[in-house]
Amino acid sequence: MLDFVVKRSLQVIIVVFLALTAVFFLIRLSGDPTALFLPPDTSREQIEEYREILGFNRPLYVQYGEFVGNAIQGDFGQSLRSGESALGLVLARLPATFQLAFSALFISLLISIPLGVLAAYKRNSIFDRIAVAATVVGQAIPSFWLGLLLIYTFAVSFSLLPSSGGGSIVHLILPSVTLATYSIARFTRFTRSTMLDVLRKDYIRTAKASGAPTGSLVLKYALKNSLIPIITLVALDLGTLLGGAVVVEMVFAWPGVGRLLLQSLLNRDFPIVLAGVFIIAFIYSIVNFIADILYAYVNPQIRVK
Amino acid sequence: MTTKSEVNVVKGSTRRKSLRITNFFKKLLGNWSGFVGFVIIFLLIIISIFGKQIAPYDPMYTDFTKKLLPPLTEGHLLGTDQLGRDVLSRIIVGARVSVIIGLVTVLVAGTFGTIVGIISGYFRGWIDVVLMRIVDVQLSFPFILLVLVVSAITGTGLRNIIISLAIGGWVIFARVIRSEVLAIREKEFITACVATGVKRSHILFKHILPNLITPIIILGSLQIATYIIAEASISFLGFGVQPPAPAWGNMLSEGKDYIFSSWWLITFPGIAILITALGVNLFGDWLRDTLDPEFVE
Amino acid sequence: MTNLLEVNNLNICFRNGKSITQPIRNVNFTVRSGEILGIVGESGCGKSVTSLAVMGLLPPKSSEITKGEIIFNEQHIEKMSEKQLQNIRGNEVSMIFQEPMTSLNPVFTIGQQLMEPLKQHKSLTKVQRKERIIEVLKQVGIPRAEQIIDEYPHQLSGGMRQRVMISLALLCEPKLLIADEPTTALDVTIQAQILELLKRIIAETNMSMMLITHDLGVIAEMCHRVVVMYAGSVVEEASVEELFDNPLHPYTKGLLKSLPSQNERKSALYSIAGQVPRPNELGQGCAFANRCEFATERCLTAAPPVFSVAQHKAKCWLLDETVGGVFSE
Repeated sequence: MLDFVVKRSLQVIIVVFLALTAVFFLIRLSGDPTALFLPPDTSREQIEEYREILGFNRPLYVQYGEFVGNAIQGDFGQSLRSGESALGLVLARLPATFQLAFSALFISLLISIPLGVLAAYKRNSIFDRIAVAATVVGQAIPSFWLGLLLIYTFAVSFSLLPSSGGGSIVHLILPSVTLATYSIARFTRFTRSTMLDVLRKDYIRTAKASGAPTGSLVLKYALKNSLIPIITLVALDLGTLLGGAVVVEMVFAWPGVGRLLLQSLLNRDFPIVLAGVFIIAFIYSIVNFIADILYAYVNPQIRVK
Repeated sequence: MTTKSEVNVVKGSTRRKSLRITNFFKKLLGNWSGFVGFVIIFLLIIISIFGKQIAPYDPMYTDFTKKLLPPLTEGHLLGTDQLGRDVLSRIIVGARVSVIIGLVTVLVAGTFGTIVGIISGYFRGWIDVVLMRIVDVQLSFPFILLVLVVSAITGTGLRNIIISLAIGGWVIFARVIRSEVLAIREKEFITACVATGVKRSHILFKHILPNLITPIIILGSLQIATYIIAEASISFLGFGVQPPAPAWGNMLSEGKDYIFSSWWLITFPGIAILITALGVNLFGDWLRDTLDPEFVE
Repeated sequence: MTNLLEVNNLNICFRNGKSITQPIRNVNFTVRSGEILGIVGESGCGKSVTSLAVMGLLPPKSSEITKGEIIFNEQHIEKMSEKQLQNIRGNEVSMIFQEPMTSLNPVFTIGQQLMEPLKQHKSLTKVQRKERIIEVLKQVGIPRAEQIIDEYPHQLSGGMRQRVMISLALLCEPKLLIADEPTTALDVTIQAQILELLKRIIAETNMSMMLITHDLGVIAEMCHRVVVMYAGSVVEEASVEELFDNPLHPYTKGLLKSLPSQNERKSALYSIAGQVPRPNELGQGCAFANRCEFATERCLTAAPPVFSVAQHKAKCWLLDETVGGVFSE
């Protein structure tokens, strides 16, 4: 177990490091950031002066070396606009993104697993058919559009819920439902097909032959077997959820990391972009790490090894 | 899986090919959702080719006297936008962007990813380790976010959007094709080839490659909708196709400023994206179920 | 001896989309208490479908018992609700399956899996349940039973898993044990051990067993009486000695002839020519007629009834003339 943890931790570090390196060079290769955030009528001398101050006039490898050196100490530089610590700005936005992503994850698991189980249990019934059709549509809806529709329906037409901003549970409802929709559809469909798969297995027949009632057959036996692939999928999809959060945060003006990152991209405020990339890659790797441990927990074949 | 892909390997005469095409349509007609998907895709392609001829108005023609007209007024079926442009015409002409993005991206990302997957899976060794590490790094980052970062850096325009989407999308092809190659390599008929001294290049091109066609087609068809939605998303966020060019994503982006007064601006372009994605997915699902039900992404 | 199980004129239909096939036609047999009845036949002859029908485990939507009755312990299985069936399964009738590798749930320990039928059928305390499990595990010859209950199926060998499957079937002391090819998936040496174990358990208890196999060697070793099935119906029924000494049906004769013998060295093994007809290919006549070397005109046009010679029954027109059998139906 310790071996596994050490190996995986090392992997997380390498992955985050490589992701940062890739983004660093992409940004630098795309051009000099100085000119982009200074007013267009700035004189050449002033631009040079700024390049000097910000260190953009030095060779690329020196800048990279310095970036890595500082990044290891948790220093991603200052925002080119506000002068505040880039990492600090990102970290300040983190709780809002967590709120959104986890409530969406919670909603989607809460709805999709029972729905998928029920659809599998009542295979080919009207309920099953409607559920399957809904998942197909749910996977094709662009989340930003769904967000707009929900804003129009609940905020504009009925004035029931706030359309943008953050800070309260009420503000959280529309964004998290929007973000959850795709996952609900995907997880439901996957749960259904996995359950159908498991219900055909020999060991389910064995349980049936020893008199297990249908209810416990589905809920106790098949569901536990299905959880292994479901956990894998959920872990894989957390990236999609985090990515989707960026888009949804923009639609609802939710004050999270994604919105900050996008605004920084638009403003060419690259220290914040790098700090944001670092945080997202790190969180995503950690989440996958946790999923692996969870996976081992439900799958005894791995646990014992 | 093997039997089916091996059937595909058999090179048919033209007669057999035409038979296969009739068979394809027979099967398609027998499946309701696959058929609907096919019809949607077919119509989309027609619209994207003849969009300018089909559209009732010039999609770029602005007329401030007719701005923000609701649907079904003054000959504007779906209304007009804030500049008085006809929404229906813009949706029709905007189809081309989505179709081009979907098809070209899948071609670029699919080709690149497949090549990497084959190299990785067939040659194994250090090159496999290096390539798969790169894939891992990329998978540690959400697809849409990567596309956003890359397109923010490469800039806007159709070509740059496709490059960004392809950079985000190739890894899934690389990973799936690699595991397919690994699985095929273990098959008896490859072992038999090696044992009888068939050349490596011959094994690769005559035996492994044909067996990859089915998974490539399935995966490709299932990815297209992802690309179309991603393009709409980044255009919506201002990193993709720029106004005034008509594309569904930026129509929604412009329309959101008028959400309080003009519901049609945020409704119809979204429906167009939804129907497109739905059609592509239905057809892709049908392809998978028909060609290889065991296929996993 | 009383009849524990009576299967009378059983007919089962399978539906696949629009096509309907009938894999089981007019099957009759009985299992007496305390005996081991062998059911032998090639794969696809309907042995497994019959045994699933006895358990009430036929897939509910795609299959249907169209005619006939299954009477177990004076209860009509075919008329039972799912709830009633659940009370019988694992309790009064148990089943052992062919694949020990896949028949145990990989995510539960052996103990957890053995606990379930006891919880379901018996009112025992937790401690009593554990005692009973260990007792049964020891009965089926599992060493260190106390440890095994905390292990997972993948930690056991195939032979051990099949022993666990047997203990699962024995837990509630059923009256009838159905073993569907219990040793087919196992190594030859393990096969012998498992068969020996089953035989011993039947001898020690008052249990009856229905042993389904394609292996006449296993039948000879284990059974008291034999039912031979071919293409969905019973073609011959007799005691083991009678069947091996004096087979009546040409199919049974063919099966016996195709057995390798220790005494003579044949250059090639005998095999019955032709193929089993599929359920939808069956015509009016005898199902075996297309492969039978004695087939006559009558065999092709009319299905033979059951002819009885004492306790020995067979469905073949040949018996009408040669043996002078008694027309029983």
